[in-house]
Amino acid sequence: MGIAERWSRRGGRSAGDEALIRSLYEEHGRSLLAYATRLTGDRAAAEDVVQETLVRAWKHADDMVNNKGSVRGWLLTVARNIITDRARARAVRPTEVAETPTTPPIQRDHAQGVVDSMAVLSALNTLSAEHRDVLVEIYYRGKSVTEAASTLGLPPGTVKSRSHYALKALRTAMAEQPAEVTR
Amino acid sequence: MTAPEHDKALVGAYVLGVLTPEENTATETHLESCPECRRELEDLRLLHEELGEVPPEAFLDGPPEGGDLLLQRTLREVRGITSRQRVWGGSLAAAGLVAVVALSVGAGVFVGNQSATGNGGVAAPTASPLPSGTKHAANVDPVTGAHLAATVIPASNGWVKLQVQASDIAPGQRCKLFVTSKAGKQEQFGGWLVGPNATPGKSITLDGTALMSINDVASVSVVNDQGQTLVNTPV
Repeated sequence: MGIAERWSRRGGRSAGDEALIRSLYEEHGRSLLAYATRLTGDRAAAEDVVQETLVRAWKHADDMVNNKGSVRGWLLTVARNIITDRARARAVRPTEVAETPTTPPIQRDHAQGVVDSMAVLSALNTLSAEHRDVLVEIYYRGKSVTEAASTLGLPPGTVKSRSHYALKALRTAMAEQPAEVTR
Repeated sequence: MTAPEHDKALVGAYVLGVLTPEENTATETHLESCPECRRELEDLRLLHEELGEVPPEAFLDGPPEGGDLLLQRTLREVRGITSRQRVWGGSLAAAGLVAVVALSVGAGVFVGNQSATGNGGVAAPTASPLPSGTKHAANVDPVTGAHLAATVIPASNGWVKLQVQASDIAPGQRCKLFVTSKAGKQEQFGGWLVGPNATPGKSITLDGTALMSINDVASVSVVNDQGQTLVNTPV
């Protein structure tokens, strides 16, 4: 995995830091921002979440890379955790009481030891492109058979049978996944 | 285990809901008579539910649309943390601090979400960030050679917490720590006496507070009892 190699060369720390952030941004930025925007309903808040997610990824790069699942799954899970924490903090914090210097707001940084809760995502990544594409079109993009057939350039009958075999292949991939390690 | 007749049932496609009404009926008819396919149906239904754990956005690739401002902001934050860890991280390794603070001469101000400090007052890099708006600055005085690194943390109600590390101040100096506002108002927030055997490069860490809004803070300085500024760092 490219990120792991880049990160393991800790010698040129500063240059490596930037390369890590840049490559995560280039590869996963759109996905993270779209996800955070949907969950927060606010583009500016979503950008903050993505920024914090990337900083946590940088701080916990080893954890992210050693995670059993995918880097994408790790990042999305961390983004979701940040959003959940912020919503919780807003709900809990009494509005009239000012923060006192002795009780700074508690900020959990549970990027450490995050278990990618999106195990399906890494299993999906192990499927052949044909299988993965048909599931993405049908399930995640909500396409009809006709639409998926046109997007994928396949006869509708093939889309149906392929979606069937893709789901079965996914089941096999899930069964073959290493058990999650409790940290 | 999969005979052709089972494949005709396309249980996976059935679960995904992509079959026509006629195909659905045919599948259901087959399921009634086939325990093996019914087991498979249960399996695949569970799996279908698990698919829902993954958000649809997981299948978008590439950078966000609309430029890389967000990337630049993130890089700035990381640079800020890296700078701070370089300065503070060497807090106990005196030689390290010298080298590091020397490196940051002229770099001026580092702004960003910084690492937190423990309650003991010794700055150390940790995973939890300081409040946003925390500012960091470091400088070496070209004349006296004194080193100063300062972290200014905003507190509520218009005051600030300050954490400084200083080194390479001549032995015997009586030092006062001042924070200066943009309007030129000075407020002392600490002081100490440099020991007679002070070792070059060995730093002292001090914490203090000042009744000044973070937005008004212009600089932090070490001044001796003669009123001479030994080192000043703009914030």
